[in-house]
Amino acid sequence: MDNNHLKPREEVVEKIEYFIDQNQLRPHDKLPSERQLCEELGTSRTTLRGAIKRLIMDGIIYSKRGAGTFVAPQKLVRNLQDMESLAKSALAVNKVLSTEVLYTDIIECNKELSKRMKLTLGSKIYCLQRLRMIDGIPAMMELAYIDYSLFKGIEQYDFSQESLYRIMEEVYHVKIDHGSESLSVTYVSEQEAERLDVENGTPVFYITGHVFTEDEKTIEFYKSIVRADQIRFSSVLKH
Amino acid sequence: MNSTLSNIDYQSPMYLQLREIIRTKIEDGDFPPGTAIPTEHELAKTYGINRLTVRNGIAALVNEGLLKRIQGKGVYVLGEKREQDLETLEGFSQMVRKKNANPSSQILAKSLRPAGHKYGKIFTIDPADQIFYIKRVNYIDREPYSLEEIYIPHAVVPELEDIDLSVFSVYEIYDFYNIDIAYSRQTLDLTQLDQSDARFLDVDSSTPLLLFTNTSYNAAEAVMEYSRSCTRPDKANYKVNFSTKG
Repeated sequence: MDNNHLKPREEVVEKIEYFIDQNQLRPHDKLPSERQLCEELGTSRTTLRGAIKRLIMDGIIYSKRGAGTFVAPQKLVRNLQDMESLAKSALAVNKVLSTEVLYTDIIECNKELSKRMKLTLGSKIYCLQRLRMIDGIPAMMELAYIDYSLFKGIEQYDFSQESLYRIMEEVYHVKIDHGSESLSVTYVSEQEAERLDVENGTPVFYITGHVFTEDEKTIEFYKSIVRADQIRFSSVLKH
Repeated sequence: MNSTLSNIDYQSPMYLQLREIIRTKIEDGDFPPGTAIPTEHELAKTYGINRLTVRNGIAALVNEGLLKRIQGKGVYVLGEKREQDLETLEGFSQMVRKKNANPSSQILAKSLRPAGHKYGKIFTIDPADQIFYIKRVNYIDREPYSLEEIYIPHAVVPELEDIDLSVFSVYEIYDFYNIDIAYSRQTLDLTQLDQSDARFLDVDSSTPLLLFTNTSYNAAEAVMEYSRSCTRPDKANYKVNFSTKG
């Protein structure tokens, strides 16, 4: 067993994390200058810069050109295993979730959707595309396809104000029972980049999911792209 | 699967339209796994678009892991991505064997170090206490899959010092010494690696990687292990089920 010690850069990464913790720095608080940090942590500029780069990639700090390095705001954590709405998770950490409806339509089911939603070609589907913002910052874009036969007239609701699942349950008495999600990574297109206020080609989480009633009827199929610097996913693993 | 959330129609950019054509042909089995798709030249001719547009459309599918470009040969369709769930607690080798694939690892570092303030806090031990640090590359069927860093307090399994991790998996060792991991809390972020670490995964430093951070507990809620694993996103899809019944 080799007894090599920590790489200097890793050591400094841990020291900076501890510095933030110890001094109870809050999101957007400024870190000391490079020179001060070098002195404080007893390290060289090169090592410090390597450590800062690492912490930026991990979303712990961010830098603003000419202004310095700051503590990054906590990402919103979404538990993949419960159905708690994003709005509720946001509220629990004193963040405000708002919604902008980008697009709605009633379309006829095409081949792709027919396979995914187990509906015949030509069935009516309500499309709802929403942009979700956390404290005003665009965090995710979601496109939902909903079996219109279960929710006639749903297009009259304003989903920038109303919760989709609440309307489904309270007005249409369709109760969501369970679902599944699949998660991967994709890159934003130019259009999406503009909506999400990120650079074209930024990698984001890509999620597709299905939501079912208790008797396995597909209520909704959705796709969403999620900014990884705004939202983090969590789950609990068990045997 | 579609990186644009708008519906593709005739007004969508050409490269997006082409991308969806190819994606549909893969999903429908018109382009079966293992075969080459038509050449850029052929695709350009068929759809009356220029080659740069074709290349753009294909590049996105290569990044998503649906297609693979082989220098000097062409662009090939890959099989279904491995599906991994985000709910089952198991070691890397166990997870891979269940899928009838072959796991292997290369140990890059295995050492004892002082916990320091950060890990002292995570494990609720003294910063001067020793912890194991293991860094390894995990492979599935000899292709690099993840770069993993594992931290375990020395007191949890002192025997680890003399165990060859190229022979036994970490979970096998927990089994040998009756170390019971009851559950693990996992978070998922995106990150990138610097050049020197990225090369272990055969990607470059700009490639986005899934970062799984796991804190594992025993039944008495003591932290037994902490790990960070940077995983290539083109090698697997992650699946999770949810339910309204708690």
